[in-house]
Amino acid sequence: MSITLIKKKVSEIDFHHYGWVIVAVGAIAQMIGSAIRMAFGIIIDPLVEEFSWDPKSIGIAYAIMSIVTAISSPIAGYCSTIIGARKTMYIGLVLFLTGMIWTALATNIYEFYISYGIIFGFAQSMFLVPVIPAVAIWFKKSLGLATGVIIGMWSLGPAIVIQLMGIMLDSIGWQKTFIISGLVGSVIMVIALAFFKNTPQDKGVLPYGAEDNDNEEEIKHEKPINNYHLNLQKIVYGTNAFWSLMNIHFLGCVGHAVILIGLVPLMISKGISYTDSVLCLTIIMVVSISTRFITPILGDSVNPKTIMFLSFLGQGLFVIPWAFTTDKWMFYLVGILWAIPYGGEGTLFPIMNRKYYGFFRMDTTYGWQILAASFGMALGGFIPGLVFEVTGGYVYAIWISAFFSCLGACVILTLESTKRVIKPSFQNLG
Amino acid sequence: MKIDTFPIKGISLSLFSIIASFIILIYFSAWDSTNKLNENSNYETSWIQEGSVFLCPLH
Repeated sequence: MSITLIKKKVSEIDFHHYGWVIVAVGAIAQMIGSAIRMAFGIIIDPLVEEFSWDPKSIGIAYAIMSIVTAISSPIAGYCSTIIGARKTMYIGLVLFLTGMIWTALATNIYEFYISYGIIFGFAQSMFLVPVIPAVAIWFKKSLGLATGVIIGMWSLGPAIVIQLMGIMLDSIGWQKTFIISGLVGSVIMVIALAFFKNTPQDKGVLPYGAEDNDNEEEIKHEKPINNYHLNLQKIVYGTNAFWSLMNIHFLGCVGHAVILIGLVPLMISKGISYTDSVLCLTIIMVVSISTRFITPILGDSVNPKTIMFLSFLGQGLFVIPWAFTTDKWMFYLVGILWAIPYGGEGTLFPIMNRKYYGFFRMDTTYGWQILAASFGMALGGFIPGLVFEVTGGYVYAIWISAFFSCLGACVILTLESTKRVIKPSFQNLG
Repeated sequence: MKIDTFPIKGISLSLFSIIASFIILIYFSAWDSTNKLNENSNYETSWIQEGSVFLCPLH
């Protein structure tokens, strides 16, 4: 049923609309932004080799970067609301290039903490936060498909970029790899951003799916920042949905971060080889790409609250067999089953924002949601190590992951219906 | 959709999640600290470990 629905949706799309250029630029920004995080794994060994820094100290840079990204996400969202997504991404681009070159030239660990931890932390939020809200302004209809393409790149992009960087690292060393990647990435982004327009009005067109006689109220969203946007955001802060969606994003991210960090060590502790364990994680990543793409489309067409609830419940319940099994094939089978709800779990937030608050600038709201998600990822990444330290195994971590995901599903049940939007109350805000 | 003057439900549930997260962290940290102290009575605990043992009623 869902495949037929998606085929029907895609066949109805007008791909000549300029909004799809914005989607393409957003996808490139996502690739570069997420590669910053993923590139960390490939530089640990070269840093240990060259400077004799211990892996734990190097890992602190990753923790700093995660925390800076989390804290700066609402700032990036606010920046995007005030000065527009394009200028915000330009700031991110300058920070990205500075961070890449400085990291390559760093000679002591504190310099590395600043260049990778702080500069990249800011760069990542400036790149990642404005993209989805900017696309949301361009799409009055088919937002699910537009965000599905971009969110799909979160998985596919790093996989491609990391492979390329890995090949470069082997042939020219990590420092040149960072400098060349920084320069090439910046040139690509400068070209891509030349095509980027903050709003359909900047291009002189209507948002995708909008009619000429659409409510004038909605046109206010396309104008530069004014009191309307700021007052609207204050109303958003006063809704239960704003706090609950942040909470849900936090809980979901704890739930899957525990698995993404703890699954390989759990499998190894049950006697499965390292290669087979990594293969299970790879299977999860590949399967989840498809649901990252499909879920926003389904959510946009059906009921996002129900799809989100099923995703969280699935993410919580499907991990439980891992606590009992020692069989490699069972790990793979459960991995495929778990990857389906995991891929869909985090992709519905822009759709939920649209359903609750209508056609509005969601930059700041989305920034707060990314803050909650980042703290969830940090906590979830910390739990497997702590559990192993205490119990000598990872089984408790599985139960903790199930608890957080199922708690997220329970919070979703407390959300109001997505059938009505807050919009009628947004009048007279200007 | 209802606009609340104070979104009590959303904030309460968020606080519940934060408290649940701290309970799990405190429980496992206290467990870790007592394990280390049982293995070596001269083990020097950090303020985080001492705090977790103090706060956890089960350790």
